[in-house]
Amino acid sequence: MAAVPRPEPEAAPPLPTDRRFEAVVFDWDGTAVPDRQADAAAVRSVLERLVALGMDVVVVSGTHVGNVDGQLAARPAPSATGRLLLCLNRGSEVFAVGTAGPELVLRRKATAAEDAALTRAAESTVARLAERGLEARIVSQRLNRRKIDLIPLPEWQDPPKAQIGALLTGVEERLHQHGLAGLRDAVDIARAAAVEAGLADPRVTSDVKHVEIGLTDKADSARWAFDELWRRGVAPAQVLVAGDEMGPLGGMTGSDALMLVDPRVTAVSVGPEPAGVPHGVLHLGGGPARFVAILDDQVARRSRGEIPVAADDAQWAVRIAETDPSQRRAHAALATIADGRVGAVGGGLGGDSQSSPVLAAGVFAGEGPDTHLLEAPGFGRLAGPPAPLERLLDLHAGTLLSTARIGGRTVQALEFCSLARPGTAVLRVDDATALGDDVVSPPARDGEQEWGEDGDEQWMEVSSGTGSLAAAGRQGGGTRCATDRVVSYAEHVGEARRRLGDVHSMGVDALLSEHRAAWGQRWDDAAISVAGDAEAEQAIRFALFHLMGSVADEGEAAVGARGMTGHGYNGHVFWDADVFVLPFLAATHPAAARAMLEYRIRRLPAALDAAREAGRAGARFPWESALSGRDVTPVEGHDRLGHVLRIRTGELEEHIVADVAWAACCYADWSGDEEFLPGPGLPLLLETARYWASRIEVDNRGRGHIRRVIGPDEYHEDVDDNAYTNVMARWNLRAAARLAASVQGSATPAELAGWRHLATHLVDNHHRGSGLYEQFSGFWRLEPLIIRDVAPRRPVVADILLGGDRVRGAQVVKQADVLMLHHLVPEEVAAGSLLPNLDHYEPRTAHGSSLSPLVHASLLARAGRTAQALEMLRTGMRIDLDDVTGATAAGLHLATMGGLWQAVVWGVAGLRPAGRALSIDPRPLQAWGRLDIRLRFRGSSVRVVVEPDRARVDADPPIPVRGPDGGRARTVAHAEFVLPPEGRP
Amino acid sequence: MSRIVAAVDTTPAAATVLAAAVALAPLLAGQVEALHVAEDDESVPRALAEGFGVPLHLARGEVAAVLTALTCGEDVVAVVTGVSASRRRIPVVGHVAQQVLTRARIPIVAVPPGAAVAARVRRVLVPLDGSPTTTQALRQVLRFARHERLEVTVLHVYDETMVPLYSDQPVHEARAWTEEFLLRHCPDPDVVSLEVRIGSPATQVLDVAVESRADLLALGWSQDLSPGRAQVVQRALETSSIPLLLVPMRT
Repeated sequence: MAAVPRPEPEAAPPLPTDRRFEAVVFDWDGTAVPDRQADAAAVRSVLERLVALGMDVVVVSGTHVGNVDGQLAARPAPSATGRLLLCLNRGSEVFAVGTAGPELVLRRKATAAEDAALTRAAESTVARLAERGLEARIVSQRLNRRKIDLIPLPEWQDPPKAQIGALLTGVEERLHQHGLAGLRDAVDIARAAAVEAGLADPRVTSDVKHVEIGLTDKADSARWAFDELWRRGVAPAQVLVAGDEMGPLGGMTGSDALMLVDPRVTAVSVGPEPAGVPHGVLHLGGGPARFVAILDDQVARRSRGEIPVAADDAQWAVRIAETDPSQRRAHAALATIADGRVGAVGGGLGGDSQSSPVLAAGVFAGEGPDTHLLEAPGFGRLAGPPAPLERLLDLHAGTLLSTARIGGRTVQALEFCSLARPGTAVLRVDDATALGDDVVSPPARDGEQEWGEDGDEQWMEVSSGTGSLAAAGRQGGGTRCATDRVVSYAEHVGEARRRLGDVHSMGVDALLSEHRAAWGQRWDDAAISVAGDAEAEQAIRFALFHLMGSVADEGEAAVGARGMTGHGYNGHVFWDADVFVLPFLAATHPAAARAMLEYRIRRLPAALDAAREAGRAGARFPWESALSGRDVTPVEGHDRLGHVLRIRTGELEEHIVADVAWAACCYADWSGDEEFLPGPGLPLLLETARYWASRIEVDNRGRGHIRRVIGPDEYHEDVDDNAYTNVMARWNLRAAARLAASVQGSATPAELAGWRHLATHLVDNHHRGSGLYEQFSGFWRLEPLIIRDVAPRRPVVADILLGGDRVRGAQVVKQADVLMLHHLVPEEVAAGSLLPNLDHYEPRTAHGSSLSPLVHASLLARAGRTAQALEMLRTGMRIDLDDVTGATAAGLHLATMGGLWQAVVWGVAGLRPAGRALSIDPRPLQAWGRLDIRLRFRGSSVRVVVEPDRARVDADPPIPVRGPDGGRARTVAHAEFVLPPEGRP
Repeated sequence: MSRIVAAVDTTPAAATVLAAAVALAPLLAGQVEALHVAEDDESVPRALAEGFGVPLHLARGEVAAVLTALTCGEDVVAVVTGVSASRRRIPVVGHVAQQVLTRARIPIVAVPPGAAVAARVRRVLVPLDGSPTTTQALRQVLRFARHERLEVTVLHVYDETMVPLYSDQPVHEARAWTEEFLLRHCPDPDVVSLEVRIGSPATQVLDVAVESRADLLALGWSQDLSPGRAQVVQRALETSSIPLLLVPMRT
């Protein structure tokens, strides 16, 4: 008889645990070990391996460190990038476990009053139970809690967790005998006693045998743990929470369910759970053995190179689906991953190097105006033609997850440029055949290339006459399975190979862990949340992500107009960097702002030469700067209409000189770096002041003029006494004089007196009667054309709409010029002059520069015109996200992104340094229910929350804060201000 | 073998149509044949065809139906026809031309009366507004031009409402925008030159056609001659002095 084939057993559907997690938070007793006497070798071994592989592990327990660490005894390797944290004593202590054992991170210490109240509450509970004839006993007075034994009988002295059901029956019988309905009643008695004892928010819990009255519980542990994991770049959706008492016991919430403080986690119970588990929790059972098996599975997933599951939080991610191949380059720019040194446009998997170049900050090729960023070797060239990609840019973790159909298969890749180790690109792809053979691939543009390999290591160096870039990389894994690439970038092959040797052995998971943590840390000092406006919140975070990725925090940082997100503007450095990018970094990551200033300091000799060649003193920084610090502004070119343009910005747009000095002070004001201005920053102020002193012409009436310049409004060239230039020069002279007066020998008394005199007599075109500043001498004699009324819409490039000649002869302004003073140096303009100048100039402004809308948004907010401010914000914040210029492919508008931060922080929140104090004077936007800003101020971590009717500042350590009333600053850790109604100018 | 069908009648314009077809033959990589649809005397078309050295085919029936049917033939790459347009008419062209132009599945070469026809097409102007419709025309031209030394000028016109929003540093910006515009819309950016104008698109297209001494104006369109639609095509039909290659979106 023929054998009847047996049907294949159906594969069990995957469990929620059948995936990779980035962190595990779990209860100790009953979940990780059967009891406190059990051998913990198995769980110790697997936890140590996971921590070595970059997974974060958080143990949550009610007991103390001696009990848990004594039993677990795990000691992560020194090289481990994951963290092992013990959240103990029922929410009152946190320890970080290192090679030497646990170190205290945090301890909640009860005050004497709280301690006394706890004791009173426990004694009162015992007394109340005794009134019912039930003997209960206070068995311990641990940190921040009191433990009452409801069944102090020898046979129930130390029941194992496995007997929880029998214990519950025994306790409840005992309670019933004394007229209590059950455990719930005992807990209610304890809670009532605690409140009566004066505890405002008592945490009363029960493990069946005991009732505990405390100040904290496991929920506090979990909240701290999730906050910490977030700071390490791990999102709740990437966390596994495990316990054995998730379900209710005796009518009480299961003790481990207290860990479920975030609904996005995956939660499991391995306990017996006699009353079932709460909704959303997976009941696996199996006890500690099952839990260890889950952890073993996590090790296995890392071993086979599984790609982490994306957090996919819409507010912290940008999803970019390629539905139109013609958008590929623009999408690639949006999806740039950068670490301050190296930027991979679109990630390595972008396809061809033309649409996805790898660029390095400050490494140039070419000469003069043709100086441009040298393209680095790529690291993710595909085996076949590029396929439409769907990208998920995780802004919080700094990773790019790409999915593509390649060769009929769906291929997924995770990529990042390590913020923890700048110059390190990492790629994990789940199908090695999708990649070409070359680990490092030649760039599309210029540069001589040398290539070599040694075993499984490949390298390539690209060099131009002025710089070189080398990449060394290795690939692991085989075909049709996951493979990893780690590529190190440096100026020369030797350095790249040496660095590769350092990082490759770490493995992708460990690199990912430290990279995520680095991003988490950066966001902890820079995040902005906007309740009620998801679009704005995402756009702001997108901008901050690229700002942070574009600037190195060591050495020097040359920040081009498009950063490392594209070839646009040739990587040239403009005032965009000093005025728009630097302030954000000064207020969130001062080391990066300092590196930007270092770029200017190292080019001071070139600026001194430029001034000397122009017959001036001091330093003249160039309008466009690259490697040498000499001016690389083109002198001629074509506009979009093909017209030949003589470009005069290099010759005449000299306000850059004062902008650099302003940036130095901005850094010093926010960072509190007291050594910078008297030290390395000194020449930035003094030499620029010397330049202005030699540049100003004094007329026969003793008035100073700066003739023949271009202001920020570049529609009008070769003008005299541009208000922005003159007032910034005046500010520069005064700031330098103040500084020089405090640094002995830095300038002669006569020189200081000369600077002050010039500053006083330099015309600023301010008209007292009207409060207006004339943009430059003769501006009001031009055709009084109101671009707001004649343009079909704004923003608009007015010289294309109306023609260059018409615009030059009219009062049409490209971008904030006079108003830029109110934005940058409000203390330097006449009091009360914002409103008249805003009313006068905004209608005359075409906003044809991408910098303009957000400066106006900031000023409209300051003027109390919050609805218009929000409109301008919306205009400016989507310039790249919607590719409204059609040129996002050439790179992202970094200065606009910096302007967005300024509009929110300066404009809406009204945060500015005021001497050593932080001044706050918000103008809340009605559509934004709550604006939450993180930043750093003079070494303190600061959080500012602005709501429609109030604002709050928290600072650690305390800082001087000056409130909206402009009164004296008070040094506080916490301050709250009630805000006046909307519309206040 | 691909065919280029030139629709000829007994009017003097038929010679211009045939001349245009012959001039376009190398570009369209097809052999020209003349088609006369009528029951009248065929001697004029026959003489004309013989003069140009192309075969003449005769067909009976309603002209528009015959020509439209031709555009569905697999081996016909283009139909060349004379089109007389007037803005005083709605639509601007007559019934036959309207039927052919709006129903064709292949490019139609519309030859205005008195159009200047080059002996061989060397210069083509392709207006490109960035839409898939106009991009289609450019793709078609570049496909035709694969073996020809053709000067292709791509023209982008900003009308008042389409003026760019931002231009931070005009030269840098122009370079970035131009490169991306061509990469985005042009399959082979290296073989075209880009001309950008501001003004009325129809006016600018026709002006640049003259200025650049174009032999052919290639226009992508969605075959809608309703008032207010396809304004560049309608103006070009009316006033162009050179043949128009009208490329339907659904080609």
